[in-house]
Amino acid sequence: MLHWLGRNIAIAALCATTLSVAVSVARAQDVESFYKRKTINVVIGFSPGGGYDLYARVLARFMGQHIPGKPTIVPQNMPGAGTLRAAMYLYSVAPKDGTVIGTFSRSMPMAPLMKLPGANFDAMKFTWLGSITKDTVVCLSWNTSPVKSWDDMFKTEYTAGGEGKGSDPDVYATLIKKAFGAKVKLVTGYPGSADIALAMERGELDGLCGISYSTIRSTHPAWIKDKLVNILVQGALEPDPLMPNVPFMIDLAETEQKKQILRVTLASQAMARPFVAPPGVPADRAQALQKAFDETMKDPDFLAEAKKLGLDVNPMAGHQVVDLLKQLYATPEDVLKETRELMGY
Amino acid sequence: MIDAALQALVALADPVRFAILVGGVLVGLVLGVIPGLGGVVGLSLLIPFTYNLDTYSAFALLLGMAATSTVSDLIPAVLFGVPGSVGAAATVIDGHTLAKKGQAGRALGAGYAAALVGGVLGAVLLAAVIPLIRPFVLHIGSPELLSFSIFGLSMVAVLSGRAPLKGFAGAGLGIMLAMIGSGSQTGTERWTFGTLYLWDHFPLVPFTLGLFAMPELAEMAIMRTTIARESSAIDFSLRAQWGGARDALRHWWLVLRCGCLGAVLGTVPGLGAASIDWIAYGHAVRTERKAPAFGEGDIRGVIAPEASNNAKEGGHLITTIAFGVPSGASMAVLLSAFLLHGLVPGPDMLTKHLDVTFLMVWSLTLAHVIGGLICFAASGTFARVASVPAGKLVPIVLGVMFLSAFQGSQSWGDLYTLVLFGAVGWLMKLLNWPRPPLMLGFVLGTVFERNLFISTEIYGAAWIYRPVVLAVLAVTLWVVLGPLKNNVQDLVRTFRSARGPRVQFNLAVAFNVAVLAVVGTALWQARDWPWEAKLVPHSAAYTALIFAALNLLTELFFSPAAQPAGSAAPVHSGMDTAMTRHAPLGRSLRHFAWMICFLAVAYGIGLLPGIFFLILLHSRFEFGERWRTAVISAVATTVLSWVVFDQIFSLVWPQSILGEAMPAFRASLDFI
Repeated sequence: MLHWLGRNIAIAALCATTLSVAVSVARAQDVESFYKRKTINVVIGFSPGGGYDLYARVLARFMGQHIPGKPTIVPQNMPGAGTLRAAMYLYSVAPKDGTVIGTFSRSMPMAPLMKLPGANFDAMKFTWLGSITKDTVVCLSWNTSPVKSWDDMFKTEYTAGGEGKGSDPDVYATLIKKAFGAKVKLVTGYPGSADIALAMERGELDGLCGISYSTIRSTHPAWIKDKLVNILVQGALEPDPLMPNVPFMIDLAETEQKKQILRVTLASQAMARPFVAPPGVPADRAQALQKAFDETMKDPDFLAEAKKLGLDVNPMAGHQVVDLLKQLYATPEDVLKETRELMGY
Repeated sequence: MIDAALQALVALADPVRFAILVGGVLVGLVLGVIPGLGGVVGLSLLIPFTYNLDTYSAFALLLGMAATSTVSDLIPAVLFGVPGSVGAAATVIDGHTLAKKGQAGRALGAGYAAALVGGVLGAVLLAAVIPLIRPFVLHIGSPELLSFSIFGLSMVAVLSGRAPLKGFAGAGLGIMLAMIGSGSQTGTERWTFGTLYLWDHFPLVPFTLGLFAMPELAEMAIMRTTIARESSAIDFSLRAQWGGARDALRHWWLVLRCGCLGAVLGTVPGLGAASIDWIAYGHAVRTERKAPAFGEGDIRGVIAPEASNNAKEGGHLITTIAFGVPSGASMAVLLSAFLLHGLVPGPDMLTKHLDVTFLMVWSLTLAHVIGGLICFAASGTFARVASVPAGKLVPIVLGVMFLSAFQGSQSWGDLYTLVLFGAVGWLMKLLNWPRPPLMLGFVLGTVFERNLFISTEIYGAAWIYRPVVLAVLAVTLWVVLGPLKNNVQDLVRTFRSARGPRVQFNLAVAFNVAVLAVVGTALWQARDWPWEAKLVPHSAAYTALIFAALNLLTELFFSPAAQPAGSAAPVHSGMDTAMTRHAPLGRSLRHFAWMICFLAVAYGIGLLPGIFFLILLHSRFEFGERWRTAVISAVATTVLSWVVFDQIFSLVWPQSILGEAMPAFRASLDFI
């Protein structure tokens, strides 16, 4: 009886396999009929609850409408190794048929340049959909700290909190210290930025570097409104119009080499909320996804929802991201070497 | 403040809103029962549903769910020895033992009552300290966190029972395990063997399930019994449950103490759900003098952890609402709900939005009460499971456990971790190595290391002189001295009664040698690390080395008769040691061979198909169940798991060889 059962199972399996291969081949045609009644997964390299996760979920709610066939988009969290896990999954493991898109940390596209162990991918090969917004990163100090301005950072010791080597707070604190010679003392090991904020309020730390201005506006609006913090310096590829009186990092650099190094480091702020599809998605579907992304960025419902949640939208299209990456990857090796050193890698 | 409280209560009394709360409670109860699923998953699932609800209803739903997953997590802990969430691990020790003695109903009843009271206590505390919350939390700095973690670690002394050498060695090992991964100070990859999986630290869920749940299932499988060992004496009636509830009421002072302990510790960010129940358990062991039978089915061993496990929710909410500092993953998800509704955690929640804060307090309270009552009503059915024979039960629970373990970090590593620590846990149970110290070292190791560096970096040596730190360290000293005194006396007695060397080699010795070998290898591998990366791991390793070596001496040279009787030891493996002494070693090996084969098959054809075949074949060939039973269990479990994990939770299934080889196959069946 087992023999009969076994043989029939084997035959059934063979038929199922053949059928599904045939069916998926036949389906390779029309974009609309491909996506009809399908689900697209957006792989989020973060645990639920943070900024990146929120952006991805809002995108998921509205982007499907703009893809022919109107597929449903379902978020899937895949945290791990500082989003390296999601990045590698999207690069080599995820299906390349256009049913998966994803997001990872803004510094991940530069990780191969920074020689991060395990970052074995070519960032430009991703099918880039774009970035929902730009961002500016700041160093700030609590109002009770003796360090109240950029100049103070050279006179008094500034104790900054960190989350562990390679995290934004650590990278930027180290950068300010090594590139500019500020008197920064980095105390690392805090579990997260909320804990650093609490320590700052307590008086345990002077301040924090490497935090996004947009994060401050959405999660700690009182800091700005009630002047609870001093913003010491801002970093991005261009100065932020919302902070007209805060010194701009690239302007503060004295040499052209240093400016170049800062541009490499701060480039990630230009693609602050990056979204990609795996490399090798068929051209027609890739175009459909990119077009849908761009249209969503102009979709009034999407914009209204983002506004309600306090999320900035200042998009960069996929091809613009690729252009930026091309420039960055063309940076000479000696500049990169010094960049790595200044960032503390 | 009173108007805000009343306003919130009136809002909650609205029938639709109340129904939403009850809905959340039901979801929470179901999720709590399934091991590995709980707060985070439930919140991620429910938050999208709250988009279109008003703020009050949204938080009623979310907190209704978050509150009750810690009520029902005691059901699988008591019945199967599988904690429904990591906070229920301590409940397994006495709760499951009671079930084995046929007193499942009593254990469940006591647990629900303690959970109910503990939960309400936590909510009340939250309400009471609202004016004081911010200054209170602002006083808890890194040195205070350090002292709390030391306090937690000191429970090792209590939880080692009469085997202090093994206990301390275990704690050292636990801390070493916590150190695996990318070091926070220097980014050094510690003991990761170049894998991305270990870079991120061992996930908690597979570790806990492996250490505590697997050995219980292994024992059931190997002994071929039902959960209740003497099937004639099972009592799961409502009357038995009320008896349990009355037990909890009788120990009201313990419930109150552990509830307060849980609530206060819940406010300490970083302590985590997994350590609080152990601390409460240790506290109960340390302070309850009257006829302690901890480890043998003492009802207080159920009451203490359950009270604290549920009170901590109130504590978690305190830091989350007042500061936006999440004390765990589920609170982090709850924070996103805040943002979704335009609420910003911080002073506003205690002034402008005080009504929402009170709504959360009421939701927490009512959810615990409703959840507790539903559990009472439904438990009769649950407790009946205690009489189902192992052959039908074990394969299904094993299958579900693999799926739950997978929630840890959703990679193959989770399953390997589960089986590895399952084997380790089984050996520890067999050879009387206490497991709670290993667990405590693991959950507290990271908090300890982080705060050690931060405190000394910022405050230098003066971190000790802060008032809260001194107070906590004083309590720690008191906790530790009593048991230590007894332990030292025992040890002296043991060494004195030596009859000269009678070198014996047996499994106990082999295991001990293996432990020494592992620690030694780890030390050797760590020799090149920078000192910041080495400090805590080396200290823990040397501790483990010394105690394990001392223990080896006792194993080798002293007869077992000279060692204190195992049954008088609190917090031992919680089972009849005589039974496992005669455990057929052959069956143990075969049981784990099944696990390994399952892993191989799952790696080949996919996790879900692997589980199908595991249940089918394990049921039929290991336990001799009929084909019909095996097929029904296998199909039902697999289909249900597919619906829950694939369709509802959109799990990303691990990649199997079959899926790699035939991507088209995977495109249609994404669980390959």
